[in-house]
Amino acid sequence: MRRPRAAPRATGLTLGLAVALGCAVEATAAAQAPDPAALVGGESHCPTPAAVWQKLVPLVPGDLLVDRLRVAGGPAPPIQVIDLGTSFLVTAGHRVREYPEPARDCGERARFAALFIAIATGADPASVGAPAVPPARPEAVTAVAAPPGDGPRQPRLRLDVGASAAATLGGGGATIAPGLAVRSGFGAGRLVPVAALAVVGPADGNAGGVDIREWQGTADLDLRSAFRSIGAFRAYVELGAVLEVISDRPTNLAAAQSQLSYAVGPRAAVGVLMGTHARMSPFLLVHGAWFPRAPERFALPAGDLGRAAPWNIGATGGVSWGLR
Amino acid sequence: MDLGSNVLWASTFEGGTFGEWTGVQGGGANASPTPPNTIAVSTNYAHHGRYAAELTIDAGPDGTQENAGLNRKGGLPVEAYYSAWYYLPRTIAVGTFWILFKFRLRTDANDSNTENEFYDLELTNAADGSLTLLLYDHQSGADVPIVSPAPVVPVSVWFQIEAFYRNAQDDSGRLTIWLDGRMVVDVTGQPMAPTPWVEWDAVNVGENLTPSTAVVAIDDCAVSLSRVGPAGVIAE
Repeated sequence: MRRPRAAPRATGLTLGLAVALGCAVEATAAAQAPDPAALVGGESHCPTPAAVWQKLVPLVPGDLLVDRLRVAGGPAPPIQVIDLGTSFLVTAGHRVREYPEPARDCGERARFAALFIAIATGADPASVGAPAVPPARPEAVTAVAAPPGDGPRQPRLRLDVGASAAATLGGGGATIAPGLAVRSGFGAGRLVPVAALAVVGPADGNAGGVDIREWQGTADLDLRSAFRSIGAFRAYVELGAVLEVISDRPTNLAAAQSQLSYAVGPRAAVGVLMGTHARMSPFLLVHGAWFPRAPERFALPAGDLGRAAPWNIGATGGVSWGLR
Repeated sequence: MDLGSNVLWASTFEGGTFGEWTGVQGGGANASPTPPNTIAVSTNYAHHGRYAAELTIDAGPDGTQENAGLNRKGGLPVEAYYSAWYYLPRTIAVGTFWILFKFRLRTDANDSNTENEFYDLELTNAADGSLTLLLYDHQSGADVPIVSPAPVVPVSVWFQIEAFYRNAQDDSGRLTIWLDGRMVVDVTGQPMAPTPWVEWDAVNVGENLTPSTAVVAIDDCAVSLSRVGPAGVIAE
């Protein structure tokens, strides 16, 4: 903190005359209005000492102010105002206060300084009709508190559209097939409900010597966790349930019948959004589902061909839109 | 999910008649000469359900061929699986021959007068008197080698005979035979019949058997595009 510089004083007369006259001047001064320049000094431009004096006079009578500040002694004005840029310093006698005020509202600065001076010189804060002086805590004004959460406000609706590759395990030979998926997340809380639809196929497989071409449609409901930033990525987890509808058609039977069946099971997924917090971001989702009661398949003469695949795993990649 | 079937035709005899055989073109069920030989649907034996075909011949030492059989003449694919379940109540000493399963041919597919014998799957006695299989090729006039050790044909137990027959006129022709799912003979890499015409018979045909009366029960017959096997289901 810079030491306040003494305000320039007017040059005096000869010593004796100065003493005599000084006493006379003092006596006169005691009877006259106080000199603002003698009371309020400093090189501040915002607020200026004059502006502070203008705000101070209505709060504290000048003679009272002189009486209370005279004990401070010294050649410099007992009240000093110093402009520190984003803050300003006020000294009143032996009391000092620094106010952070980056907005540089000079009028407000003058008012705050006057209030401090009035209270520092013994005035009852209630009597000066002053509202509570804002606390001079640097942290209160040096920075605006960051809003809670992960940066900018999260969109309330997120739409993911992408291409899938899904594999079935069990139920005969493993198969893999392409597909399309659409996923929607509703809300922006810690847990976001998600609804999704997907179509995968065709997948060509074999069960019990019967070649089967299969299409799969799924509808799932999940809860998605809040995004967690990991470097340039934002990761999330989904847990829920999925309904699959399967269409199977044998391709090497003399008498072939297409059949629809369905199964329900739990689903889990882990995903990442890539890039910045832009409205559109690429995403990648790895997911798996288990169907404990996958439908059974039958064809003559083999008879029971076993159950359809109970395990589905896959990955979906595409674009995620944050719709506000 | 019932995805369909590869079984082109099946016979379980559960209607109590031979209608499954006689109701298709070229199909038949007959015994010759009658008497003493008979063919009937009965409840004395059954692999599944209540009924099976019961074929009885009396093949004494007089050297006369006795016949009872179920046949499908023509209308069969060039390549297919043929299967039937058999039951032999007792062991018999085979004097000349005892045939259960046949393929026949035509040298002119459109002329029934050109029909002739092709492959006979027969029963014969092993050294210990048990029954085993033998495949006779009428075209070459010789027995076709079967697996070693030779399979034992069970008595008083149902057993399945299944054949894959690709009646190709080039080297892709093939005849493979299984007994209760075990392959016993595989003729491959040679032409089969001179024409694509196929006849398949499930029979009880014998000559010089001891004792002379031989009963063979037959059930769950099928013609399929895929192998049935012992665990296969041919009807629901």
